[in-house]
Amino acid sequence: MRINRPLAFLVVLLFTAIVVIGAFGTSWNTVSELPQNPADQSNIEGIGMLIFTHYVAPFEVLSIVLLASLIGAIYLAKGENNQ
Amino acid sequence: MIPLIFYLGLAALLFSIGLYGVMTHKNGIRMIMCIELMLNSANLNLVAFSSYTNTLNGQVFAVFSIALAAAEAAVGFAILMAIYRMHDKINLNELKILRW
Amino acid sequence: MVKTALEEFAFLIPLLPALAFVITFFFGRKMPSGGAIVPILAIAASFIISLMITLRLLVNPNEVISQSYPWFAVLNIGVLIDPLAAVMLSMVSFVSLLIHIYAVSYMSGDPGEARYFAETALFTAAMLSLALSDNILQLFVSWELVGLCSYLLIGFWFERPSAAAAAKKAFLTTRIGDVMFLTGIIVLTSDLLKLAGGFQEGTYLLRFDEIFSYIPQLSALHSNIFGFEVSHLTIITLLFFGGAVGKSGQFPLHVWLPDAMEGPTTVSALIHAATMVTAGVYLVARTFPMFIAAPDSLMVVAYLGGFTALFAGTMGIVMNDLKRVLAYSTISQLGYMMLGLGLGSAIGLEAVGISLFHLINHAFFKALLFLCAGSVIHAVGTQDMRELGGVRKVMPVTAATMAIAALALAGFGIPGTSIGTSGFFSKDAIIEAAYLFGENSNNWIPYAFSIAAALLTSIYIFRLIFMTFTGKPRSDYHGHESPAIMTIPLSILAIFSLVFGGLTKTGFMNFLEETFANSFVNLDIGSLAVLGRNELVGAAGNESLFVQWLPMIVAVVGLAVAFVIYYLRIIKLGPLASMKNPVYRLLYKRYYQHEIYTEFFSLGIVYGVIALLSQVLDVIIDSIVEGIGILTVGVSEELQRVQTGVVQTYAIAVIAGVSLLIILVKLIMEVL
Repeated sequence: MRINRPLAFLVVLLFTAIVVIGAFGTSWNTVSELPQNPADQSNIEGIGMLIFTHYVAPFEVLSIVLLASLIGAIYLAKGENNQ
Repeated sequence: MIPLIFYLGLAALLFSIGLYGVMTHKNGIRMIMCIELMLNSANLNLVAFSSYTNTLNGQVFAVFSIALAAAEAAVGFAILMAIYRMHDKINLNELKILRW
Repeated sequence: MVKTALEEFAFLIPLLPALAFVITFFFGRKMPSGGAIVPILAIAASFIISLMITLRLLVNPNEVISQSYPWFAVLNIGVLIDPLAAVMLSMVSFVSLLIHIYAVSYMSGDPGEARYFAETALFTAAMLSLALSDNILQLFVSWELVGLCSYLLIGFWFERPSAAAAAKKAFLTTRIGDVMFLTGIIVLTSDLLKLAGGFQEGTYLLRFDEIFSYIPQLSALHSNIFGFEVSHLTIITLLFFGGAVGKSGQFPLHVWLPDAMEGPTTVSALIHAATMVTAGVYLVARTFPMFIAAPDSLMVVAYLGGFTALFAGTMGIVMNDLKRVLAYSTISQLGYMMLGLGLGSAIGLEAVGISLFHLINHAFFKALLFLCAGSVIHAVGTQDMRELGGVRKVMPVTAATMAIAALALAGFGIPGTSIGTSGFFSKDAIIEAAYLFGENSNNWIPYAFSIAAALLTSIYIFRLIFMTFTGKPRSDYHGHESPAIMTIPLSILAIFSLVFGGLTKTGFMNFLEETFANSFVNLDIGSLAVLGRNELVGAAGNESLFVQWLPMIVAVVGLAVAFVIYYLRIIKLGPLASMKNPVYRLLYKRYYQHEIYTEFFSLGIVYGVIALLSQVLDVIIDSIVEGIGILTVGVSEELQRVQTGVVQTYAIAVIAGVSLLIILVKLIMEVL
């Protein structure tokens, strides 16, 4: 019983209230109409284009991060030589 | 069409559910799953914004975020394995050497 | 030429003995007889200078020496030698000189001899400086110095616990008087500053002539104390008198004098007979214009002095210790002097004359009495009169001189003529003044006091003489006459006790009456007396023969009583003089004063209160200090619980903090 559940609930409630009130109180600058025809709804091609032109540096860094986390997870989970 | 605010509201709700789970569960695996929930709610937010302003930056960011979430979950589970080897259980409440 | 030169030497009068003190203090041990020759020479020189100044003043009373040097702000150091001071200086230096010569033999062989002579030299210097000081602050400083020397000399044989206790008692009791004196000076200074409007450059505020010039204005100041309207002058003079009560051993601060006999007899002779105890009388005489201008002050002085004279006399008749009888006699005679001064409310400035006359005569015969007692004690070895008797056969000179002194103390003489011992003339003058006072105001209490005290005086002193010198020896003692160096001063003092009074009676009192008239301009005693609501009557008129002879009759009656009881031994006192008699017991135990003052008051009340207060303080301070500690520890123990070590709690805290921060920022943004 070291975790104070009611308190946590209240805090989460408070936080959610703040976020929701903040979100609902702002006037977002949105388009009036979402694209209707299926051709415009698919954007995988567009994402691919953006990744390999604008965001290629984060892409490379992300690959290294994935490599590091892979190696780390394997090492940590391997344990003593009795596994 | 559905107004943007609903997506934001849903994301906020998911985030708070995940937050409550992080604050209350004492099982390590449950905590990691709730963290995943929080990350996914942030992804939802990103995609919603990107969709409603007709740009693609948000969606690219969301892809990266998913990849990072996967890496972080892997490392987290590996740490939990090490903890299990030490204590024979993964009750995160027991790890309190840094208290008074 | 000689006249102006003499003024230059005036400041040497106290300075030479002070130098003698320094020399004897450092080199006395290496000199023969403890370096006594240095103080003797110095005091002899002071005596010669004082005598020349006195003679010059006798011839020409206008030549008052008054020199002042600025000290700081409005205070000054200065010399004022008018008839009052000149007489005092001559007497002090003369008696001190004789006693020093006597002490060469008395203190020989004592290991602390050099210390003795150094301390008596310092004492003489302080007393001389007191007599010639020209402002009241300098008088107070010398007063304190005299008190210090008295403490040192009473506790001379300090290895004896009784001597050390007596010295402490003397100092503390006179301290009470000194505090009152200082308070009086403070009140006076504050009033003078108010009247003079702050510190005026170039005037000396506390000089006597300045003070006296302000008396008419001072008498207009009144204060409301406990619903009574008291004049400031009364307060100031009564506080000064409080100081005199302490120093001169009046009731109730007289308890130190009998215990002060623990010191060497020469100390008793010098300090407690002739000089220090007369400082109180001198103070009242010096500030007499203030006393006479203050309503009721002189009456208080007179009543207290008269009461003390009677009170001490009652105790003197039962004491068995030789020196203690003389101590009570001193207190009694000082009461006479105060009574004489207090009668100034009726006779004006003459009171200073008669009181000082008695002071000088008393110095002679009381010093003589003490020195003879010292001679007896030195030769025989015991102080208790019950063990003495028949000393006359072994010490004839001492017996003769002591008898002369006794006659002088009791006041034997033929009224209406110039034949009589000195004590007779001065005592008679005081009793006559008391009679005049009673006649004028129908208040016969001072007169009754003086006559009763005279009777008791005669009884106790002749009791002492008969018990000591006559009859058969009551115990085994071996005695011999004292050496010449001791008997010569005795003889000189005896001669003075016999003839000084008769020769100088009228001249002396006229001389002293010039004191205030010539040294302080614009001082009209009559107008001051009006301010004090005192009625002045003229000089002694024609009293009936009975009244003139009454003091002498009383003295003779006392002699007869002592004669019958102690010489002829016809009347055996027996059970009357034993402790079974409650009156005797009351007197012998000195009215239980030791029990009341020391046991009950000091130890019981004062010490008890202080012990209680200190315990209360301990408890309070302990609880405060410990309380702070406990508080700190308690708070920190509560605050420790924040650090649980459980991550989830920290997460709660973080999110809660962020939420509150957002709310706070929003609120502040809205306000701004």
